[in-house]
Amino acid sequence: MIKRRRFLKGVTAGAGSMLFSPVLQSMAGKIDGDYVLPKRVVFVLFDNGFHETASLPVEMDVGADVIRRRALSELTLPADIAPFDRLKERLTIVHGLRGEHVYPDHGAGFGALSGVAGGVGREKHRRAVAESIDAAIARQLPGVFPLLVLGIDPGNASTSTAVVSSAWGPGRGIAAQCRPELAFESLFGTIGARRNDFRTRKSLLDFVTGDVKRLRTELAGPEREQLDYHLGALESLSKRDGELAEMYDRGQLETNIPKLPVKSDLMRETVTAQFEIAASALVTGLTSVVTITSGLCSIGKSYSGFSNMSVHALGHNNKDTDLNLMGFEILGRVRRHIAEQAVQLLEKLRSIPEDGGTMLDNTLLVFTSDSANRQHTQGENWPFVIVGNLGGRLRAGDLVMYPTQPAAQPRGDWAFHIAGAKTNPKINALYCTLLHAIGAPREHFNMPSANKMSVSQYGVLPELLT
Amino acid sequence: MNTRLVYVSLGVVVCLTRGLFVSAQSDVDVSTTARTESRFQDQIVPFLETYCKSCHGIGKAEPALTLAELSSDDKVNSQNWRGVLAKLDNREMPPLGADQPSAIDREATSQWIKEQLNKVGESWDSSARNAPVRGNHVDHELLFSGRDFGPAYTPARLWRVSAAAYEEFMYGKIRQFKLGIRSYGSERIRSPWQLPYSREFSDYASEHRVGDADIEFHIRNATQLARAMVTRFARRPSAAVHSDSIPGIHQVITVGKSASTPSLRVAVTQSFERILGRSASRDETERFAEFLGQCLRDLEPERAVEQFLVAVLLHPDVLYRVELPQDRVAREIMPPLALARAIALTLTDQLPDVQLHAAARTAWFSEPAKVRQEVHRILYDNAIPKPRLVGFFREYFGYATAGEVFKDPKTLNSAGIRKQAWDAEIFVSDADRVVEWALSADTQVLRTLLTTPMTFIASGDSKEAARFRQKRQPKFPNSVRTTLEIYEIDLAADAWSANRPYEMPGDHRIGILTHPSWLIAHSANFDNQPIQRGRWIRERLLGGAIPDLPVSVNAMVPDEPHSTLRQRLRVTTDDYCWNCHRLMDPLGLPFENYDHLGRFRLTELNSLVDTSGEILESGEPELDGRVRNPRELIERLARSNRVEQVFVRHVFRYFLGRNETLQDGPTLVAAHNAYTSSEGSMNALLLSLLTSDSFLYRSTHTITGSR
Repeated sequence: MIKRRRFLKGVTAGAGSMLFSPVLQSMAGKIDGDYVLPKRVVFVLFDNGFHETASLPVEMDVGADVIRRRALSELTLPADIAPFDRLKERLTIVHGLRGEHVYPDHGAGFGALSGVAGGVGREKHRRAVAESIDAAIARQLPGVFPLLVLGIDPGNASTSTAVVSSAWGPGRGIAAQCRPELAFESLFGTIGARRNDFRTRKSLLDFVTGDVKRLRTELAGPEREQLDYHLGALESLSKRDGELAEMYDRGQLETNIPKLPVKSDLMRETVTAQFEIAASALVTGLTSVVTITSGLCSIGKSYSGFSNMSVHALGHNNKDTDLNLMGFEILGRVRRHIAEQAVQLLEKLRSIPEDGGTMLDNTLLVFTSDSANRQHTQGENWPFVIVGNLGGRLRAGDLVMYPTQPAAQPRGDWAFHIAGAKTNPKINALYCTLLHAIGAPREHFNMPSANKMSVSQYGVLPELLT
Repeated sequence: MNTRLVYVSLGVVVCLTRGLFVSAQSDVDVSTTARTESRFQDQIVPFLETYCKSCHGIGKAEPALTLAELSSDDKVNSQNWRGVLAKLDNREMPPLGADQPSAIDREATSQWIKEQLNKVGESWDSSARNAPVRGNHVDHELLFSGRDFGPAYTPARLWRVSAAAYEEFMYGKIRQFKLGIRSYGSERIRSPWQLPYSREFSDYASEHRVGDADIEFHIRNATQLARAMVTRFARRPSAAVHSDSIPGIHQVITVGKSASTPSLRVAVTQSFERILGRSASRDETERFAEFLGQCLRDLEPERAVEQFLVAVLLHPDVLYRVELPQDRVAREIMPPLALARAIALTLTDQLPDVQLHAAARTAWFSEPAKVRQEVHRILYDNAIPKPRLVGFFREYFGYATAGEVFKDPKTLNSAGIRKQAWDAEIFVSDADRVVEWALSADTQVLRTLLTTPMTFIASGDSKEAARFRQKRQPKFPNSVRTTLEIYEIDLAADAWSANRPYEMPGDHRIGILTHPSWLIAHSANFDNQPIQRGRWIRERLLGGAIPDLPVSVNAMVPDEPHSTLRQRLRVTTDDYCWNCHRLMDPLGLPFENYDHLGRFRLTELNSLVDTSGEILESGEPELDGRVRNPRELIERLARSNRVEQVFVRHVFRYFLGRNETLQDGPTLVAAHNAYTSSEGSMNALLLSLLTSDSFLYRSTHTITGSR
């Protein structure tokens, strides 16, 4: 909870007085007394694109040169996201945001959550060149785990960690834990351990920090910065273990602990396990911000448990002859499974009372693809499903469509063709809006060329705010 | 133009510069300030006057932001200076076509800005400059000019060990102590990090950091090892003196809390010797003994010792190549053990073998002659595996990613290839073998790889090829048949051997750049990638630098099924794009002689394919000019002295794990001489590099200026 004065101060300091727009003035005016910060935010990313057919209510079609808004209560959700139906009054679906500047073809890498490209080709997956939105929000919502990133590497069950989606800043990528059993151990300790392992490990970390500190004095410049990263990691792990040790002593970790994930090679089961871990981490208060990235912002191997075909071939709508299903149908099943798990996570939060309501009331979930609207996308439309209204700051319950139209030059028959108007807002504008809504406003979110475009392309999206 | 700095007038710049830099050094003595001022007036002002003012003065063409609009806030100004620095370093300013400063003036201005930024505690993006892709920004002519820019060294640094080296260390301990941990299945110990092969050098010293996830992962591995050690050492009699036990640890486990301080020290020194392979310093002995004592007070003996052993395994020596100058002086050769480790890891990706380790224990190891002897031994002993040599060529040519380029079954079908018969990994392993073959001859290695029509066939580890080799089936499997068709080699299954090279049609293929592995790795799902191919030649053979893609550019080639790719690339020929694309596209378009599956072709869309191209602004006038086809292009490049020098620069980067600096010029000249005088021997080139000051010396100097 922050005071109105602090919020206003944040708005003016972060956005600059020239950007203290009517929208923000209106927001600030509505804050009477205390401003309730959301308590938790969840980002769910998946690969191979969020097709329009999978994200647009069935009654709707593309093709309008004005911004359209429709109440979702009047519309039917497509099968892929039908699990969100029971949360419709909290739902916002956004279409028409642009992301061509992060080269999302085959997954945008870090660009999906940072809105800035680290390069093209492999570079975009290797280089974290800016803070990502989940990290920016995590700075506002501290937790024992400041930002929990859980990954799913389809068809590669042995992948343990991957630095792919999230970053505290340039060169400071945040690793995704890809093996549920290891993520479980990090969060909740070893099941059946008789002593408090967290405390023991804290002493160990504090001791080895000394070795690293000694080395640090002998380095300079970038080489020292490199070691500072190591040092920071040791200190952060130590702090985390200290807090976990106390929670363990108080018996807090035993409450809401998920069942120990069984190690599985199947992507389907890994998804389920990661969402269970995320839910428990949120419920126990171990973290306030979670990112679940299925596909690791790139192209994985195979959706084991769904199909034996390659992820890439499915994105091309090639047929799985074993299942007698087209690739897009299988992608739909994968998306639906992820949506179901996201909804289960939210339902778990709904079952727990908080501040006169439930934990769900204080939660925001952002559900989107790391590849905009299709595998070989040019980022012309980046659909988002958002659950939650951030304490009334976001206007939920609507479909918001920025101008879209069928693409002029469709190629091949394997993609859904749509083009968003070139002047449509970038995905950065949505992230900027989220930052404003949680009381950490900025002029723009990672938009260095902001001075060359209209504020409507990178600034707060008034259509999403109340 | 993106820069936000606008040069208004010298008066304002001087004033703001004072505001920016001088305010933060108020406690610096007056003479230093005066020197800064004088250097600014003598060196920087004329530079700005000559190269910046015509566009960035008041009322000029680029009024993006005037300095007059800025507050005197230091942060704002420093941001602008960082912008100038980036533009200078990337050679984006002055723009192409404008008068260019000499390399020395550019370096000097860039150095001045860095020094001033350092003084006010403002960071500049050193990582961008350190990235492999920035290596070519150091002026080629200056590097090979023979000028002395000061003694060469590598900054004191940590270089995270490779995944292979990490696992080798852990399994080395498992073998040494007979811990019985399996190297397969769920027990298998894996490195916390893995690096996929890349189209550029993926393992620079500055590139990788150890973060919390890595540490957690390593703690799990270390705990597994430590637990097994405790079990074994607890049973092992303390009298044992063999290297598969640590008697001091056995003693501590036996007596527990009542262990004396001397016995704790013994446990520490023995653990360091047997686990880390080096002596513990006095300070380390005291600290670790105290830690072990504390653990014994808090925990039961086995658990306490386990904690202690985990702490030893968490030592930076396990995770990094720790490369500091001997005796910690400003510039000195590395200490013997660190040097031995650097040599072994550089060449073999393994820890030093017994002979190298023993040599490093001698006081005279750091003498260049002894180092040379050991490097020579490893290089020329064919029984010692040196996977990093092939690793270098994989990343230098960038062919190893061919298998990752997805080819749609429909596209394959339309090319008459069944999906099951497509396995691009075969091309990659065949190219690996070509590299090994060239290395084994060790004569004109680069020229051979650029011009040979030879390839191996199905020689690698792809499943079908391996099965075929094993069973000696009467017919080739489909994937090998496809491979043969693309190679255009007519061969019967019973006449085939995995161990000899075969010749592809000499008028169709010339070297790795026309090998299907390279062509496919530099292709997209449906098309060739002439821009990336041209960029490869510009950077890897000509030593040129291509500026970053401007953020405002939406780099898309139009989809026009009835136009050739060359025709579709017309979008790159408008003035704004062509500034950079003229340095790439004409070098990549000759490879339109091949389709995106690596097949030679004479026609495209029913017309003769246009394979013409041009070498522009290569830096070697004899190279420049039009070419009719890829053969002409490659033959010309393969004869070039400059291309050879640029190759040497890349070898330097890969094996030293950093970009070269002007101080490394003599190292590069010597390495190039060694290469040419040995008729193009890779071993001679590496021997020269690994015995150079650049490799041997470390310094704790802060890096500024031309680094």
